[in-house]
Amino acid sequence: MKYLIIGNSASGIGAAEAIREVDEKSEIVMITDEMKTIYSRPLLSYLFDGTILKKDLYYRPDEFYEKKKVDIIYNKKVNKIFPEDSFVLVESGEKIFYNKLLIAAGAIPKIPNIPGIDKEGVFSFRNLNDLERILSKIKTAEKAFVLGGGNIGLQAACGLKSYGIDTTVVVSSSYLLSQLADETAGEIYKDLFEKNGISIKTNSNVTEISGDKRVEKVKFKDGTTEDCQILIIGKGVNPNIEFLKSTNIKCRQGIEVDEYMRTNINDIYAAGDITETVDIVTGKKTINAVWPCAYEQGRIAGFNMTGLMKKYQGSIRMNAAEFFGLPFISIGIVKIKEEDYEIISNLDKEKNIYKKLVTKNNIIIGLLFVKDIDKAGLYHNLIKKKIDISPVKSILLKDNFNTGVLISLIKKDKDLLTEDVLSDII
Amino acid sequence: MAHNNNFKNLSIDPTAVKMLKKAEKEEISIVWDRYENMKPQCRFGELGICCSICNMGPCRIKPLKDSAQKGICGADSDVIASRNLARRVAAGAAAHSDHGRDIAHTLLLAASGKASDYTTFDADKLISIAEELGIKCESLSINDIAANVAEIILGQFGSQSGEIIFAKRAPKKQIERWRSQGIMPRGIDREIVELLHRTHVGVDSDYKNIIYSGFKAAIADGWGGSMIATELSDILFGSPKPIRASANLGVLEEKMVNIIVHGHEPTLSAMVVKASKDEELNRLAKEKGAKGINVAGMCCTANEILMRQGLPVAGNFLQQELAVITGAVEVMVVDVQCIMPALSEIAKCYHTKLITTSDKAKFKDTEHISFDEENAIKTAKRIVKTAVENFQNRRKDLVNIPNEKMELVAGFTSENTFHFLGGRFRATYRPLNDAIISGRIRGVAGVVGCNNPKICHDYGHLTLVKELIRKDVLVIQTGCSAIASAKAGLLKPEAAFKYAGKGLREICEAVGIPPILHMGSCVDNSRILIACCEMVKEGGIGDDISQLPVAAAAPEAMSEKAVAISFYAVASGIFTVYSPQPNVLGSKNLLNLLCNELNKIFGASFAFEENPVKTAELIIDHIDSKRNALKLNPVMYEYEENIP
Amino acid sequence: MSMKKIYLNLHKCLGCKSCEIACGVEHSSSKELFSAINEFPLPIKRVSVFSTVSHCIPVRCLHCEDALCLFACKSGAISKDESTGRIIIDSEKCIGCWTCIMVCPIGTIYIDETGKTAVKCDLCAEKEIPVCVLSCPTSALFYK
Repeated sequence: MKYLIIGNSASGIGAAEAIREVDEKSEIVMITDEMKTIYSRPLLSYLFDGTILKKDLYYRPDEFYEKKKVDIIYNKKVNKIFPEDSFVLVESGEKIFYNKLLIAAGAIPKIPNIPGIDKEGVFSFRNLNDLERILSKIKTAEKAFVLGGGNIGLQAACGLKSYGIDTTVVVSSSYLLSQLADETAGEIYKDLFEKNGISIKTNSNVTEISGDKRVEKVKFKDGTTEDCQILIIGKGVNPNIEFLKSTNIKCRQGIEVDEYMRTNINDIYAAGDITETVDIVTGKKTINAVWPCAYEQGRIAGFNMTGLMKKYQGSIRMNAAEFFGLPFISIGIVKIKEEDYEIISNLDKEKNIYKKLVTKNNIIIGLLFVKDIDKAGLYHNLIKKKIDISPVKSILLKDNFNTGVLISLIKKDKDLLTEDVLSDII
Repeated sequence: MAHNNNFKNLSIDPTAVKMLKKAEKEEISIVWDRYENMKPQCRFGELGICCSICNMGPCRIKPLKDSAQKGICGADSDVIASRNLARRVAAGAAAHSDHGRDIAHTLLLAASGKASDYTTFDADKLISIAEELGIKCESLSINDIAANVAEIILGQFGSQSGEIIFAKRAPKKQIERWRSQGIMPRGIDREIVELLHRTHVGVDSDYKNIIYSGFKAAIADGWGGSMIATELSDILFGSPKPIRASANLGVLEEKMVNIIVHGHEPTLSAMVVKASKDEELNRLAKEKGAKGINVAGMCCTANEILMRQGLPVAGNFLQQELAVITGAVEVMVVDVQCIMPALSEIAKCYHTKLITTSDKAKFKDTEHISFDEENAIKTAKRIVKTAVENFQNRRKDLVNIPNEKMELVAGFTSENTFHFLGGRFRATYRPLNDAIISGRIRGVAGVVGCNNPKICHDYGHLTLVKELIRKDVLVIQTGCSAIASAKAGLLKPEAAFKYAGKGLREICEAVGIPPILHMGSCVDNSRILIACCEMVKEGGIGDDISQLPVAAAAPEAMSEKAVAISFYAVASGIFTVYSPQPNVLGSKNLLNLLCNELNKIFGASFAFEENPVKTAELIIDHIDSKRNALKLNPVMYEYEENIP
Repeated sequence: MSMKKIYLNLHKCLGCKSCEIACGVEHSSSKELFSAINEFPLPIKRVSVFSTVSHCIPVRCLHCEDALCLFACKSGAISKDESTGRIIIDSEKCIGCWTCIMVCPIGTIYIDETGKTAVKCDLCAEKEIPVCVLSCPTSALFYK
């Protein structure tokens, strides 16, 4: 048996580790277009703002591939897949055969179609290469703009600010983190960023990028222009499916898989940011391009590639982050879209504490916590299990909602087993 | 057994180690086993921040990062810890004072002829107390004087206003401090009751106010209930005089009927001693095959009969079960306080009969012979007879009496002790004060209190007192602490040669006293207060107890009485090192009050230190600082750093 | 893999919270009760006793076979000790993104004293038997 995994980030590693739990002997090959060793992309923003050093970027120890007996091929793009003959064609022209293939090629940044977007000094912020390019220009920059007020955009802004660069985040919506948070939380973070010296420009967009070779000015929706030496694009990602176009692998937005992470083609699996999975909350197929889901999907795919039949329970959009010491966690649907949604929330503006749960028919479908995040996992559990919360609705956001209440909610007391009561509710 | 046979960590008393081995062999679980089984002990309780005073509780303050920082009623750790501590003071003061009340009651009965077995009053002491109480003695008979004294004293318990009489014995400055703080006790019972009221749910919520109220009740104990117990016992049973005796389980006699009197009040024990000398009973004992009747004491009852009659001491608090385990005790007769409930079960493993005598303290499934003062000797004889008749039931195979017993001299009091220092004919504290001023003696320390299985049995006491006398501190002791020293040979005059520093040795040699003076039972801590008053009165080493180079320690404290004692010691200006800490560490504010802020109010404070060597250092530092403040000569002789 | 775990005899837990204190003290810098409660910042315990309708339950990390925190960790700070099965957080490596807190279904991952990294039960790495088990007066918690 020979396993081939395209991509060496969360889902690729998840798959390799899962395969090795079951199958210690077979050959595993991983191929990646990354140049460096096994690093974690989410750590890049911490490297950018100086929280960690480059040597701390690794996601698994150096000896990972050796220990797991994985052949790793760096710095090579897969150009094409030939499912009929079970091989992939690498850009250098060589063929790599497989018995089981996992496509965990991830996503690529969305680059908006703005005149001048290809100028020097305009960057995306996805991988180490991007960061190194940004850093190479950082000394010659005074004013920077970040396009996009999501997680990546804000992290990039913090990174720029840490170099003392005058930084403005340009957001097309009316508040920050509009994909993950609501207006209240967005406002909290807007204030926080402004207090920390990062300007926020809402309801705006860059319409033109000008400059000789390198970006010199950006023009906004309202017609104004400003000097700019660095522009970072943080408008989200698209699944990296371009190289699959010539195959019959079924894609919509991303690769479609079944609950065993199988594509429509035999022996080809997909996982991670490239994949469309069923969202537990909405029940609809969607791409939840978040790290925990990517790893879990990779792990399930890995197990199933060895012949096991593990079902994937579905994905949930979830994000956890912290800016300037203020953490937040956001899970599922946090903004009202339909009328039969109910909101339970409380806000302490002074302390920046904000807690909000979105429920539908007494089942929690979304969570947004700012600052007091320590119990988020409990609600996450309730979301996943679709537990009727009506018996505890009144205390749901109070201090006395705790694991004990959770246990009572999930298990009838008489069913509690003595030794593994906790395992029961996981 | 839970303690892995490492008995030497449990007690430094060889008899205890032997009996522990015997207990293990006979599969009897005793106090150290129960202590092991109790582990881990509740850390909330240890910190003093759990409260079960009201029915909304139990509540606990979480000492780590958590939300529960207040009890259901809103009490925080300061309020909860101080209420708990204050309630211990109330209970301790109640125990001492009720003991005092019983003695006063006996005196009244004796004076009116109803308790005719108590006849030999110490007339000198009676008259001196009567005069202090303002009784004109000239025209009165001894019995009338005694009745008057008893009535006035009994009035002290129910007094509602004014100031308790004996508190006025304190030096002026102490009295001023108490008055200005509003803690001069009005009546003994009143302060204890009020303290219980204040600590009821929703009453006093200022931890300082609660603690001050604790001091008020404690003063009512030390300068009230306890002092009454001491003074009236002296009247009823005679003031102690230095007397030779012996101590430890080796005092039990294999060939004799052994009776152990255990508990606290001398009313019964003195009668048992008397009854044991009854010819008829001795004849009966011989008929039963015994050579005679041997009465030995346990805990403070032992101290009472030791101080006045020179009777042998079987052991201190942690030895009460061990005495039964010798298999050679026919009867253990008990009254009140510090009697382990476990005794009734352990007695059943042998032929030993446990007999309770106080209607306040009955044990389940245990023979109760109600003791009343009006039929004292009759009851005592009945008890002795029970013992004699039980001799034949002794199981020889289970008898194992350790041979250790130690000679000692006890019977010192605040009145007689320093007469010795001055020579027999000069009844004055001058020589003591002079010895301190000249630096021959560094100072005086009272080392008192119980045993506690948390601390290696007797190790805390002995390590501390040896350190102190080595550094020329004259040590005075009471209670189980004194018994520890007695068993270790420290109460022999010869101990001065072996253990005392050069200056203290000189004094001991000249006067012929041991370096450690045994002053009686735990109510007799009042004698230490009087001694302090006398030192102030004599002059030259401070006009306030808090200025004296004196200190106190309870290195193995266990009971609530010990808490009350430490409270009145501190309120009286005596720096007190208490161990183990009485569950106060959960409140930083309370701890700061007890260990620092009290200095401003009483000129003295607490320290909590479990290591007896460090306790000695704290006491030496304190005494030296007092000497410096008084500008006294440096201590005459340097002590050697490492004494074996 | 010989994996020792902490088990709970549900009927024996009296909710005394001794385990909480023992845990906090063990993970304090002084490791001594009276100093620990005076430390600043206060030590964080990694076990909490909660009550259900009829029981008390000390809740602590279960070192799950399929540990969601391990899968979710973006920095690689969480790992599984292959020989003991313990799920361990490397505090040097943790960047405080709180993803593990987000996914732990029973809420046994905590923010540390400094607010910088995630902490949880480490089964008392320095001890043979975890202190919560040692401190349990009713032996409701046991380790095997």
